[in-house]
Amino acid sequence: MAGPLEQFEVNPIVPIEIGGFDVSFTNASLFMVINVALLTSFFLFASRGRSLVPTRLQSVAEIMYEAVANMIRDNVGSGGRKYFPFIFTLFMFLLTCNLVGMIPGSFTVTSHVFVTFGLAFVIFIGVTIIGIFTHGLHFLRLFFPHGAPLWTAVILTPVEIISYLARPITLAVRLFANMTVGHVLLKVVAGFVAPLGIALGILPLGGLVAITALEFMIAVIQAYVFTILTCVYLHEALHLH
Amino acid sequence: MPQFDPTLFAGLVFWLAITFTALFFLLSRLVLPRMQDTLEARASRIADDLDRAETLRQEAETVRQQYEEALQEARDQARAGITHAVSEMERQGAEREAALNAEIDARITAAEQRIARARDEARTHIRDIAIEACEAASERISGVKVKKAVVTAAVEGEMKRRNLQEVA
Repeated sequence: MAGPLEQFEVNPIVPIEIGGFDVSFTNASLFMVINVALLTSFFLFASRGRSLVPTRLQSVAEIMYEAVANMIRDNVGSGGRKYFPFIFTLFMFLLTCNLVGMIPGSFTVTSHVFVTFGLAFVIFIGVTIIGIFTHGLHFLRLFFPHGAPLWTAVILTPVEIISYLARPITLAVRLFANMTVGHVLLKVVAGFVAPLGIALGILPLGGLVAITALEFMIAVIQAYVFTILTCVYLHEALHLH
Repeated sequence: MPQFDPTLFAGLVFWLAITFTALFFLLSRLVLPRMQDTLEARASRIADDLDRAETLRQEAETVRQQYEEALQEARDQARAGITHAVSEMERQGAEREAALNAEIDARITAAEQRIARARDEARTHIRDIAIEACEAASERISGVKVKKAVVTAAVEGEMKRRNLQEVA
């Protein structure tokens, strides 16, 4: 019986080393490539007809498109249109990674904190650069709420700076922790089924079904939360509150 | 936990960068422009159809107004025609009545003239009969044949005295 943490192990398939770093093609890399291939082929296939009245698959692709477009319109506002390709890629990548991870025996790319942190860090740097390019030094207004008494700056500014710097960590940990805990829980509960036998094993099996449904929901919700927080940060960088 | 094994960092981030960038370019170059075209084409097609529907609706409204105007005009014409016909008939009736009245008057006058002539004739006959009767009566009674002029004078005198002219 495999341990609950075994599913997160990264094993090299093709060993590669560049400049002293181990960048081997691993099972994690394989699933990243699979997810990208799945997504690209789905969207290419779904949008190939360009019919005026959409086919079923085309409708699915268009619903995704409209959902992300609405997310940007509602949360980023004016000037958000040009970030649509990035936000769309981000949401679809996370959603696919989370959902493909639900297939038994597959690998959940987003359950690795380095992966989620890599994304969150790029977003953090990108948003900060966009903010400075848009507002120059005015961007620092972000660290002091408009209209608060001046003396509160002593308390508020450090708090604001810390919470700003914590963003990539909270963003990364939220997704990674949700995915990891869910998959560990599934494995642990599943581990009870066989030892308890047919009679008693029904109970953890029922629980397993319920948790699986919950995990599917969490997979979608966490992809959405990650994306929408990115939109919120982008909004702040573009419009300063 | 394998998640916190620092030797994995480089590999995961490296492959994440490659796959995510690849996905970004695949989606933003191939898929998204295509989908945007499709969605815009659909939106503009729907807008066009709505526009055309509105134009057609307005045309139908114009036709309806024209029809109602034509109907109103026809009604007015019919009413005018009826009024004209009625007044024409009244005029003809009055003319005919007048002609009839004139004819009746003429006949009455003619009849009156005939009556007057008949009365005059009758009066003349009465005088002649009276003269003849007087002649015959005086001859039978007295056996004397009186001269016709005398009898005539007597009869005419008597008729004048009794004012027979009025009676006759």
